[in-house]
Amino acid sequence: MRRLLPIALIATVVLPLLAFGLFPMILVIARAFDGLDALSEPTALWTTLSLSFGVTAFTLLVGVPAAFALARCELPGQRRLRTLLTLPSVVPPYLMGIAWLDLANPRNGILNLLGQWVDIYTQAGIVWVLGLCFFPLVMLPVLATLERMDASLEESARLSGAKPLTVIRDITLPLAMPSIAAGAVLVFLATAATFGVPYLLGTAGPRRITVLTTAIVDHITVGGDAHFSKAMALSLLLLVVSAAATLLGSLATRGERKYAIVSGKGARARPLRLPTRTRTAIAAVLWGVVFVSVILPIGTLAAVSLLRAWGAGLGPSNWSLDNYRRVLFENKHTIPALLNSVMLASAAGLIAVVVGTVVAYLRARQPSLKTRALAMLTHAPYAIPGTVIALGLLLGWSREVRFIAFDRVTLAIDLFSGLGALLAAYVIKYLAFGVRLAGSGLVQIDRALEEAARTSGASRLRAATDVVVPLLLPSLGAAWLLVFLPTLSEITMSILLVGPGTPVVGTILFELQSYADPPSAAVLVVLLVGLTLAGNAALRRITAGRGGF
Amino acid sequence: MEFGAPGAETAHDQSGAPHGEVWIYTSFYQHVVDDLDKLIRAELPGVEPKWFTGGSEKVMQRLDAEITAGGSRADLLIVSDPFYYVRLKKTGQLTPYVPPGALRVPRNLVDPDGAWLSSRAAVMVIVFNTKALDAERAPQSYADLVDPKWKGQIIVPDALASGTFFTTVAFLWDKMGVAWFEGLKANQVISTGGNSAVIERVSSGEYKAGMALLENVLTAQRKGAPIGYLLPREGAVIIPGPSAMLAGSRNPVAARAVLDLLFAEKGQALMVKGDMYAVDPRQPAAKGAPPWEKVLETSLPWSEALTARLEEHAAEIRAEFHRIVQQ
Repeated sequence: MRRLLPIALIATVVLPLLAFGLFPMILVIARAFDGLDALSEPTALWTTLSLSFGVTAFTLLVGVPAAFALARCELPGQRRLRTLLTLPSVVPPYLMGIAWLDLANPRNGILNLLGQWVDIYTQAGIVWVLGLCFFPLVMLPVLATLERMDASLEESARLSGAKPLTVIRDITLPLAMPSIAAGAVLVFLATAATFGVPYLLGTAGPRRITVLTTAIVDHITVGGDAHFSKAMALSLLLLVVSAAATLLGSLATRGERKYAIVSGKGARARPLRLPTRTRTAIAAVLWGVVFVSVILPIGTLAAVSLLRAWGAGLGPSNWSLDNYRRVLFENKHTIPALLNSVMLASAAGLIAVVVGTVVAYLRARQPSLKTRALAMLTHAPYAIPGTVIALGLLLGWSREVRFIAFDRVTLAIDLFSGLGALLAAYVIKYLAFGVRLAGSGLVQIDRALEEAARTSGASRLRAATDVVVPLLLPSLGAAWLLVFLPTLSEITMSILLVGPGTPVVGTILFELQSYADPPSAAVLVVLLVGLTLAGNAALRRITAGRGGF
Repeated sequence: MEFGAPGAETAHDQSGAPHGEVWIYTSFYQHVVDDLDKLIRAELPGVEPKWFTGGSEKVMQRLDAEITAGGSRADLLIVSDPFYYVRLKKTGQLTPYVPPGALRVPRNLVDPDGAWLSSRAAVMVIVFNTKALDAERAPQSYADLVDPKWKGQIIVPDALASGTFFTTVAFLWDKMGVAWFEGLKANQVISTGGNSAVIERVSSGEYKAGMALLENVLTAQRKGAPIGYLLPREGAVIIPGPSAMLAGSRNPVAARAVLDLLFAEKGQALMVKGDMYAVDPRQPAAKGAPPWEKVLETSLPWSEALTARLEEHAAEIRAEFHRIVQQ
């Protein structure tokens, strides 16, 4: 057993990571060294950094207070608020960008009809849109932490006479630091690696905004070896930036034992006793966030989905359900694409969470150069554009690979004849969520619990599965959701890697957006949001309120 | 992943009726692919078409990566960047084949060695918002697009993201020179997104006019969008839509049969149904489109020498356009 375990781990976790993660990345990034001259133009780097810091600050400002209010303030309509505040992560940022383009473009955006007062084609516009898309990445992990924090920690401070705000400042916030840092790092990396919104909003105004990802994609599409090398040099730069951000995040939470908030004792933390008026006011603020992050953009898309013709006015004479009929029933690819995507996203979420937990566990409990490198490796793909990952997978695995053992048994890896390539790409790209969130969850579990199991005679594996995993579940649930939602409608990698006859939501969205019209693409977004809400409601019913979001 | 005995691969019978899988990488619209898929299955029972569809640029990126990795599965390539075909031919990636129906295709839209042949043609037109302008008052020519009168009012596709617009840019680079690029920049012409994005933003009134593919305009018009078009005074740019068989094809018999079908009357009719121009002169123009003869009359002509010259400079033109217009 003791010897089998490491071998099993290597075969199921380490080898696939090296094969589908490291190997393709090396294939593309190795080309960087011929293109280092691309690094002499630092404007794109500064823009990427300023956008990433801007979006991270925005999401912290929204996500942390929102999580706190949801976890501790007994708000009216709390459950609904929580669900609605998770919704921004269902809609691909790119489509949120389109909604905001309709709402706030400087010429004829709906919000500008009464006077031109907002311009979305600016850096501030990009920060605004991405911030509203990404704040759940901070909110959900922090919420998961607050909800299982040992009540005695806050209680004892309160009993010693600390005021509620002091408790929050001195006890709760510092203890939630690992989750806050984990969320912040994910937002920073997501912003640095995002292409859709900076392209959509940054290239549409008279002053073009270039970031690293748009520069990378530009170089790739200009074509030729020299430009490909430049693109890879810029990707390498992004990797360095992301490694620095990851390092900064772990520096913020050094010394893991002091964050152990889940111990053997204690129950759920008690809510703050707040006057009704204060609770209503807090709820009103959160409804304000829901309004700008969900109702306004998704409502715009829903309204657009009903338009018969784009540009022919917004009045009832131009309303119709035709787009729904066409997208749902006439297009025979829509339903299979939805099924494929739900299946792929569920599987990708599961694999990312399981592998992520194993990696995070090894990293936390057996710190060494090897496990550290392994954890680093899982973060890298999240920080480079999907196009680069997809090209790496194509370079590495587009040909069927056969391993023949004993002249009899063949192991054929044919990633590209079905959904395999997409699954590999999704897992590789979003594995960071699994590792980050499982990791931040792990440092919050008092190690004494595991040690107690070991001294009672449990094996290391048994202690991990029986003690650690159940306590980790809320964090793992959040991680699964954060992988599931974006992969459900992932576009960039999907359009390069899709197999024959296996459409996914991303490829259909791209097709509708670029060849049909905005109303048809909006139909699919409305369907996605509807399905997610229905799935959530069903899950909550089945699990009596414990599952879902 | 699959386990099995070695060599369990299905070998294609190279004699008799075409059958087996044919992998087709294409930038055709999904509804055209659906129609073509149906036609192939009806006319060539036993042939199983496998599609990879996407914008020309994406299809080319995937094919390039696969070729670098040691070979692509693609048997046929149908995208809309003629220069890419010239490059593939140069590097020996194409197998020449001329289907019987292709003999009617205009000479300047095929490779003289038969390595690639256009199976349809697209036309880049000037578009305008019909609420703000009419055909008289809209910009009439490429020269008008750089006229200060239209400053800040014009939007065109992204030459890096749209294969058809890049072909147009390359053509105009030859005809109008780099000065025209500089004129676009000075006139604050925005170059972003694909053809449909341009049509959306002109329809919505965000921009008054621009350039886009006729086929996309026709689709939008049919749905009632307030968008009009005209052929530029200096002549419209025709974008050849090449098709070719790849040298690495594992099923050349069936691949040839599919090409035959694409150039046959039924295949060509599908091009018209998809709002493109068929290369078979017996086919009518799409509904709402000017007759092919009229387009040809006013169009700027392609020639083998021009295609070759532009291919040589393709990367330079892309980089140049990007540097001048898109910064």
